Amino acid sequence: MKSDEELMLAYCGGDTAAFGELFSRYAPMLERVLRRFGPSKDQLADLVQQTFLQLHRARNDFRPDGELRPWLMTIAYNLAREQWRRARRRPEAELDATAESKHAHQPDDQRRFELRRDLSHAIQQLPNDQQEVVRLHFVEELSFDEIGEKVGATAGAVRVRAHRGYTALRKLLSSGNISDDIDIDKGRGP
Amino acid sequence: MNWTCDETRRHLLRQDNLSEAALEHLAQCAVCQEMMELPTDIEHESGSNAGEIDIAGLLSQTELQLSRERGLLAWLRSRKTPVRIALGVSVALIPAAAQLAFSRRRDLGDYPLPWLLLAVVVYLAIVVFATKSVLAPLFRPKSSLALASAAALAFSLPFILAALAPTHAQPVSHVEIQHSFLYHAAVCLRYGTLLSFPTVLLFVAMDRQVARGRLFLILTASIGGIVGNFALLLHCPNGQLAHQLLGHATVGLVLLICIGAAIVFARLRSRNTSEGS
Repeated sequence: MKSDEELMLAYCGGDTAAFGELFSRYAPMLERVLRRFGPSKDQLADLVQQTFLQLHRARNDFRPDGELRPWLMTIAYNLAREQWRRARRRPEAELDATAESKHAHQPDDQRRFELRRDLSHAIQQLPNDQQEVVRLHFVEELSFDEIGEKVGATAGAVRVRAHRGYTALRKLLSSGNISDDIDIDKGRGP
Repeated sequence: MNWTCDETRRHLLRQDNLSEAALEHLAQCAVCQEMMELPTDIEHESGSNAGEIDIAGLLSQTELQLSRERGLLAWLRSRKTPVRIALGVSVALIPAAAQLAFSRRRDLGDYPLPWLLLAVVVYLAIVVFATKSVLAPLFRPKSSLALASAAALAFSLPFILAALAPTHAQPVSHVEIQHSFLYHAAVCLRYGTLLSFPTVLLFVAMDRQVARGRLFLILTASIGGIVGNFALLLHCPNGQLAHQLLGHATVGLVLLICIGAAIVFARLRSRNTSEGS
């Protein structure tokens, strides 16, 4: 299977089918992430579409040695920010809908339990140094400075470790390749 | 206004409110981008009033939109960012270069050279800075503060330079006062505005966004204002403060009003079209 970057380079080289493949890979993820900002269905679809339009217009700026995911996500967040800014100036209805949505559709307890279990299992599959930082940051809710003091590293080094840990965590969770043979209460992975 | 990684985490765990500051931070922070992509409770609770979107349908619509990306505009927008910036700066300097070559002020030899050089350097620096700000691609984090500062600086610079401009070391008059002050100011204003129009149009053409923000429009008008002022500095020998302020420095303001009027006109037209159909 081609990597995202290979697909992007193929698209820059004129392979239009590569665009469809990139869209299939990233549109659901963009939908999932941008949904957190409370847009309406139309706004959400528009944001995803605009993100890919920007990918097309900026395709010659993509560096062959670059990573596509952060490149595309930064475009999406910048577009979302501008949409948010416009919505703030426009009819109250758009913002009201957003505010109202915050209270809508509480997840059921079973689903919540499953998600937390998966997350916990995935954290335990991380390498020890990343696991420690992610656990302290995400579970125990310490700041990077506090974690740095605790593990004897600078806040910058902790950030780098957290970044790697979250990247690995996201890959584990999205692949569904999580081992259940871990004792959650033990708190540490193999 | 500052958003931190800790607040992103809090949002993920407790569904706290997200703000524009959050989006600005997310566009810049690799750690938070990864955190936001973790599947957690909030994702399943809709988080918005949006239902599932039809991905296949959206792909067809996007491909249709991309099939319309043809012609000169699409070509300009898809140039690499350094190329767009170089093109923007080059076009912005053409009016000044043309004045210097074909229509330079008669008193250029008498004008205080240090001040002239200072003005040229400041104009060049702000044109480059503002062009880089306005044509910055969306895949780079954009700071609202930096953009607003660039807009404020570019907009106010012509007024500052006009207010501080020295008179000649030797009191000489190269201006033939045949008409009223207002007439002379209006002539310069029209000349500067006309000279700066191609630059403004090029910047709008090279911008990749579909919906342009206010700061983009202010910054583009301000760059146009600088282009007009730079050209007028090398063309018009009238050093009166009132003339400088009203006839030269207001070019950016006139451009801003023109752009604003064009937007209002376009909106009214699209509203009438949608009501009619």
